[in-house]
Amino acid sequence: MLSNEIMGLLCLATLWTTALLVAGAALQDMRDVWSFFRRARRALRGTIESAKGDVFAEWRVEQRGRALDAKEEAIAFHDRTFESSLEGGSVRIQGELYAVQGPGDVWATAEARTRAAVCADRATFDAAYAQATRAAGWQREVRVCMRPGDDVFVLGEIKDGTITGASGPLVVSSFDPARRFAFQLSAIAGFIVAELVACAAVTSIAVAPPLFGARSIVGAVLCLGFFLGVTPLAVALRESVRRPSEAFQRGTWRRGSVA
Amino acid sequence: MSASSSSSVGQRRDAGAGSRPLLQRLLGVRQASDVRQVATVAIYFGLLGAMYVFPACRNLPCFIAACAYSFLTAVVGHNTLHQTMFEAKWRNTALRYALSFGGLFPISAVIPAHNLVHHHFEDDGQPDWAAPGIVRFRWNLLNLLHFPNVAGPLTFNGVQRWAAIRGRSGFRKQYTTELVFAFGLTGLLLVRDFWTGLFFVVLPQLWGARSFLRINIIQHDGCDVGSKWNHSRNFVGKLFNWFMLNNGYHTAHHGRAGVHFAALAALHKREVAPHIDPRLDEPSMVAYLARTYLFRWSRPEGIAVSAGQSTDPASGAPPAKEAWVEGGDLNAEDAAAE
Repeated sequence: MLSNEIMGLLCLATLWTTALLVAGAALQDMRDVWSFFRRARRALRGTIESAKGDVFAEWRVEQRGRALDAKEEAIAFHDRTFESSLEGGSVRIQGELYAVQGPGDVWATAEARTRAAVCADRATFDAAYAQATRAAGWQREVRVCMRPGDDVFVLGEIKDGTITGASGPLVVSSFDPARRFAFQLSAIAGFIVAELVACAAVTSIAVAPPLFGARSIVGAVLCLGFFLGVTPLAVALRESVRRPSEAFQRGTWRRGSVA
Repeated sequence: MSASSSSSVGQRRDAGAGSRPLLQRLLGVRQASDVRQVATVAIYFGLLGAMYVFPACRNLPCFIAACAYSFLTAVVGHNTLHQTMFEAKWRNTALRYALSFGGLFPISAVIPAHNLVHHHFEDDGQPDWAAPGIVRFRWNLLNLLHFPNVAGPLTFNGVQRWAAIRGRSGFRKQYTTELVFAFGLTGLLLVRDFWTGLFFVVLPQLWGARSFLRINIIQHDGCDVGSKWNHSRNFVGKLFNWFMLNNGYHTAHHGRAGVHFAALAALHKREVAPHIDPRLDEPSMVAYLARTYLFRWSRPEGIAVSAGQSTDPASGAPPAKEAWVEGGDLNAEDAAAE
């Protein structure tokens, strides 16, 4: 016979195993962000002086848009492939001119990406919507370019007047990566602490005397809610700390929002 | 794939009611072997009902059996969403509600998550929501344990995005009603007897649903998803496949998803076995699980990496994601041979 006590212990063991696994996975994300953060603290801040090609660097995402089932005509985009191309050129850092040569990763600001992804006008929307209602959807590419005159942060090492990626991939970023990674590290650490505290809190309610009484039931419901709810939160956090060049763009165009 | 499979099913259906086994006729299932699927679901609900109603049934054997049959019922759900089981539409609809309750998730989610995204291993450039790479602990056992915690939310987020697209209102309605039914009935059972409902209904439900997700890492981890033959791991034990409704023959299933489960053993023997890397034909899932997750610490090297190539070993052909047999489908004799 499986008593309530045995089954309760089984439930709590499952709950805590899940909570610890979620915390462990978050620690892995933290380790990844930390490795970027360590490099980002030594990022070289400068201004693009010249570009080898048309642009110094470019970030791209290929997206497919499909019409949504909504009262207002709308197109939802999902990301297909991310690409960075670092054509290179020269960057002025503290008065000195350094050559930058790709390949490398390109990190654009969220604002620049949003600006690049916005619908230009009604005609563009209408043409896209006609395609987006089809099964294959409407394909597009969102591009953010970095050109001479733009301020950048470069993650790399200076050697003989050239910045290279000797200790990791060469990165050109249009935002301060150290600040972003510091925020992400705090968010992950906060999540780990919060989820373990929350797990402990719901456990304490569930095991409150009298065992299997009304308060215990409330605790068990909270435990179930925690079990079902913590993993979507963990996945959302994980998706929010993706490598900046592969951070989800997605987005939606709505007819009413188009100028 | 489904369209071509329906022709072979049709051949069976047209064979004449008189020639069908009695149980098949009574249950109204399309194929004789579907009786096994109905029995699987019936045993599961029988176990849940018995444990919920009779305190004497709340024992370890019943509980373990309920958990196992919860997973097997999810496998039935998988099979029926590739190919409906009953002749009558209302029975198929009723089964979907039952299966949704059985796993505490809307079974229709399997259509976008499994049939569309997983079977293509990607959707419009998006990775499979249940790709083995979503977990990356050094201790491999933790990957097995943690996998549903990541695959579940990724799947349901993906399903929500997929369902919002124009022309999918029918799916959304079905998904929502299944969700309401599954949680509503479970909620009623909890209200009536909370602890019994939680321990002997919700736990088996969650075990089945999470195992259903977990099977993805078991069947694909270390495989070469870009390969024509080596994208899946097969478990070829006969007794195992009898209970598992031939879901051990996973390469054959991926190659032609519309083929009825009863025909997969013959298909595997005839068309998969000569081409697949023999390391992906595992005689026993239990032995594989023990070897891979219990008796070793690290994650095993992938088959593609260790093989050094991802071509068809038989022909040397480059990898292809497309179905490996063009046109046609498995005939009724293969299904009958089971």
